[in-house]
Amino acid sequence: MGFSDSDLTAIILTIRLAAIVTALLVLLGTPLAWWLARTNSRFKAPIGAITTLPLVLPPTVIGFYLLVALGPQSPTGELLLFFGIGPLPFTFTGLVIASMIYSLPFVVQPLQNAFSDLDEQSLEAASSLGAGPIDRFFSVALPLSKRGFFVAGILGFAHTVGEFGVVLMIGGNIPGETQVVSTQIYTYVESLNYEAANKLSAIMLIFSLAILLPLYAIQAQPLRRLVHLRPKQD
Amino acid sequence: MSLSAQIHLTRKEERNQKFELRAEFKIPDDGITAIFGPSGSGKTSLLRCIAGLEKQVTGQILFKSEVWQALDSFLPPYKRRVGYVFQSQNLFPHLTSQQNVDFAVQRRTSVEHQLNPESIYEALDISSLLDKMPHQLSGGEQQLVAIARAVLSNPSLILMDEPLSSLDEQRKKKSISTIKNINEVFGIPIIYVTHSINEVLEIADHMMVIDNGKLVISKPLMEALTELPESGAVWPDLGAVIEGIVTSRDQNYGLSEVEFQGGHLRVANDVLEIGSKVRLSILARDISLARTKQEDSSILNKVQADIIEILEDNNPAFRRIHLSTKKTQFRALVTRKSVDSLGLEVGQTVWMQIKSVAINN
Repeated sequence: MGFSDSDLTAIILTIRLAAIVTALLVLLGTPLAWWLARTNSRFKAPIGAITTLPLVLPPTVIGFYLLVALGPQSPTGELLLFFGIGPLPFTFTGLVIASMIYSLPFVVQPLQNAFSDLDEQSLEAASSLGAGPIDRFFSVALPLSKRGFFVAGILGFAHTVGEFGVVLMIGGNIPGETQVVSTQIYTYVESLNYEAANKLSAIMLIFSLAILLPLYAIQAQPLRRLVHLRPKQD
Repeated sequence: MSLSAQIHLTRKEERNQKFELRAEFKIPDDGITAIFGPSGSGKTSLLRCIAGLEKQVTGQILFKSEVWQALDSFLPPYKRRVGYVFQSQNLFPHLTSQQNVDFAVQRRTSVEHQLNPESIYEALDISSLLDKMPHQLSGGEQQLVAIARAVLSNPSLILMDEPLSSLDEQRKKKSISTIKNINEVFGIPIIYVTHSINEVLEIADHMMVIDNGKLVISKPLMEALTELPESGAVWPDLGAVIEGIVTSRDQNYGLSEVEFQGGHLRVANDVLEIGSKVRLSILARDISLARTKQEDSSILNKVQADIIEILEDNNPAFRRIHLSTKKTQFRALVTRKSVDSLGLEVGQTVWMQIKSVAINN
């Protein structure tokens, strides 16, 4: 079964989007998850709730607000334009930002769980042996939370690949720029091209299964907490 | 006097209970200090305060010329250079024993007494364990690697929290003498937490007794032990601790004679060097009393002493009798019935018959 050029473009764009979003989210989500896991601040609850919000909000709602917030008429949009950025809606960059917000909890929660499970005594031992905070993070905390990073990476990637509502709202469906696999399928179905839709859908199904397998293979234990985090269907 | 502290720690425990620790002490920096007390008394908390692991602690801590903690300053643990050995699970689970030790070696800052790893591995008998991951080691083996790691981090002070509780008797004995060696040979002061009086007797030069969050005694060992009876709640079973000198050996019977202030005792050991100092301990229940020196008894050790005090025991069938001979204090645990039938009274001179004497070094 061969893919059309536009199919391949969509597949490559999807992978590129998911890879960039996952990388950025792990980078930015790690300090946030560390803070959430270890702080006693009274802001912990509200910030935790905001971080988890994309999990419960309909993607269209997130997409709608982002569209309004990033649009050239909004204050943020104007500010971005002032710095020579944007307008962001209906661009790849806009899609990256939207996807990061949408997939945030899927990266932050596994990391947060891993960090709160960290053995305090290991960190204390490292400290007594002369390791400062940054040294402790990279030499002890990071290797001990490997599994958390693995789960966060897979879930972040898979969830970004699987998003649809947000993409449609903020990205539109522009081939080569914002047309990802899920929106491409939507286009096929709208034009009653079931055969092409079927091909891409099968690819998505196989991909999703393949990516979830290793997740469940690395012991069931840490996944107990992740059940509620399984990518929901758009 | 080189570690001095005045600290106060309050911590909320479960069910709204409040734990409070208060301690003010000065301890020397050349020997081994034991922190002794029952479980839950605050020994570990005190040790953690010294290491800088308890952030809520208030007060001040001075070590040699360094200010570890004062009103407006708090030196974090990684700048205090203390080697800390936890009660269990010390090792980083993702590193082999060797890598665990290397973690410490790579981060040492001072060039003062940099020890040779090989000699430490040998002393602790852990060379064969170095390639293994922590989960492949027994609890006791992990402790030995952790001790090596702490020593090789080149610390200015080593803190140990019941480090040997997971070792069997034989390894425990050997490790205690290794710890004493580390202290003597390399001159690193050690603070050692334990709830076992036997470990205190074997290891300590200085003793801190902590009870219910309060530091009650901090003195050189022998002085601390003579004060122990007054805080009887901590240790009711110890009859006497005696430091003496070996005066003669009887190879025929396998005995040595030890002279102390107030008499002499024979102990079942004929390898002690004549003229060497030994530390002996006797349990209170191994001392029985007689009005006359009974020559027709199998008990070898008979010492004359004066009754100073007769106290009630927690068990109403017994009395605690405090005795003294010259400068040495004894405590005997005797039934109330015997006290009455022998007519024992304060001021009397009696013969102590000592059934068993333990050698602590």
